[in-house]
Amino acid sequence: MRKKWFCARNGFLFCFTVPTLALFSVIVLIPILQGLYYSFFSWNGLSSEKTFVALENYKRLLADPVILTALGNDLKTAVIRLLFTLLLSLGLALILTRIHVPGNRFFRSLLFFPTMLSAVVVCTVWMMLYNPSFGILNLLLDVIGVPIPDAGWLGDFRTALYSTIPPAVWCSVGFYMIIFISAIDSIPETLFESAKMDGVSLWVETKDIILPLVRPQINFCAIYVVISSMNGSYLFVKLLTNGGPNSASEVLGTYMTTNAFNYHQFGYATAIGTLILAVTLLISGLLNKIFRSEAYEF
Amino acid sequence: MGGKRGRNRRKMNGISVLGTLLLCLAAAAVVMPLVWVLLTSLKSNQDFYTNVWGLPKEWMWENYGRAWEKGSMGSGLWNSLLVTCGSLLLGLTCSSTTAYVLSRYRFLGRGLLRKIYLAAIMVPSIISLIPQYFMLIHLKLLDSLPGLILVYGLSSVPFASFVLYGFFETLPHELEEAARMDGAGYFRTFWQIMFPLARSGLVTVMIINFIDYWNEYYKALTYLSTPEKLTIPVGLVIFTQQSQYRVDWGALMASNVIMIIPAAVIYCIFQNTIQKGLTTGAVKG
Repeated sequence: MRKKWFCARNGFLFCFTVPTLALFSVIVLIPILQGLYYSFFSWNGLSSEKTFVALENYKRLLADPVILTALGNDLKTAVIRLLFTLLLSLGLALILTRIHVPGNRFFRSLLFFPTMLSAVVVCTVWMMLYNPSFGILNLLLDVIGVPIPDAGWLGDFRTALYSTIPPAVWCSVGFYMIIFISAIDSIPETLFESAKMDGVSLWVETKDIILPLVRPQINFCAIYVVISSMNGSYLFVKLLTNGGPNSASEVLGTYMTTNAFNYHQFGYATAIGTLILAVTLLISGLLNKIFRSEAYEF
Repeated sequence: MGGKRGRNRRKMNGISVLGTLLLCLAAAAVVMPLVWVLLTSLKSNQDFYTNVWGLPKEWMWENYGRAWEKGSMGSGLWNSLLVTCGSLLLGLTCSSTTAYVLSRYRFLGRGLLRKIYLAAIMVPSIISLIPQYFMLIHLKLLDSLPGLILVYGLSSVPFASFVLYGFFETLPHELEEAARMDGAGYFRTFWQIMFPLARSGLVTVMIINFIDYWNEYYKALTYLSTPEKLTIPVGLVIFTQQSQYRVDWGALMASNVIMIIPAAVIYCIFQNTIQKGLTTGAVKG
């Protein structure tokens, strides 16, 4: 009897863990490790023979000027994205929670909608907006008197990288806004009541009550924006500028895929992949450490 | 949200007006580009160039026909649906069983298993892009929808298990004991009692994954090549690339609208669940 129970339990546990782990290993785990392994080889992907080159790919990484540009672009993108995303999503969340505005629910659902869209759609829409001959951005900027680059925003080497950022911000602000709305809504109403009795201004209420209490959400969003930028900004760059002109808007992700699928340098490409992994882990570790300071409680 | 909350919202007129103005500005920034896409999708090329911003002079519904044919939106829609449903099924089966066992049973290797999945959450998916390509070649699953389903479904296992783990953990242990007393086996206890009870968690995970699968384009672009097998975002990318030389704005924008519509419909129906699901899912992660 006891033995039968034991068999049934183990059989059940086996069925619920091992098949998933096996599939997961084949499709996800082993490829991750293979990525590290390939980075020590020179390999064009087609021939079955890989030449072991030890750290040659990594040495090349350090000497490659495009890597430096790409890494710099990744960091710039992450910082700018973080700044604008936090500012806009917090601002909108504050307006929607603390100020009386008509159509509150309507605005909430409308502003969240771009989160549902694919990067492909977002980029097509923004390419239209950026279009040098009929884009609305040029029309608006022309009115203000901003000079427009001859090659268009996406074609000029000075503006190409920065032009890939607004589409990414546009389709993610709503998401963070909803996180902040639910954070602000969970602050006890009594705090706002006493603030109102003391007659504090909206600015002081925001600065001294709301911001300290939504610190955990701000920290979470900061980490999340930075990681998703490191891991996902290449999706936008690939579609909007493909790293151009002349590598001016290259990020590590686009440079990796170009090396792999256009130049067939798979060993070098996986070394770039390893660099992305290292940088991402480093940054998220760093941010975690910075944010570990104590959170306010209510 | 709404209801009793916000009794202490500020009603000062100046600020209220300013806030409303800012919101309208933000709303315009979201809506105007989308409306523009919709209008352009109904114009002829000539109409578009002479009349970029106005309403179409002639409503060209046939643009949608061309998008369906030339942009291969028809097969794309079907393939995307197939891949999304398949991946959801695979991903949910794998992650719910794993999460259930990890959260409610003690066994040898449990700690290690948990650590593996937790660590996998931290690894950016981009680094597996290239090796996965060769793994698919090896499995003879490159350029096939089942291959893409495997990739999508299993890539979401770590995060989905993590979210579901939290939901299963909160269910009372008495339930399982009662089921055991009544003679239900392990599998039946899971399937008939625990699985339905974790419904809100499953819905959350399903929504997050649905949006991810439906919108994903880069892996699909890399792993698929036969035109008949492309998912809808890939079809759109290729259609856009082809348009670099001779642009058919109407059909191109019509393809975008075809891609937006399912997301918009689902958003209208499940709005609250989606907003709650995405944000709780994210915050838990």
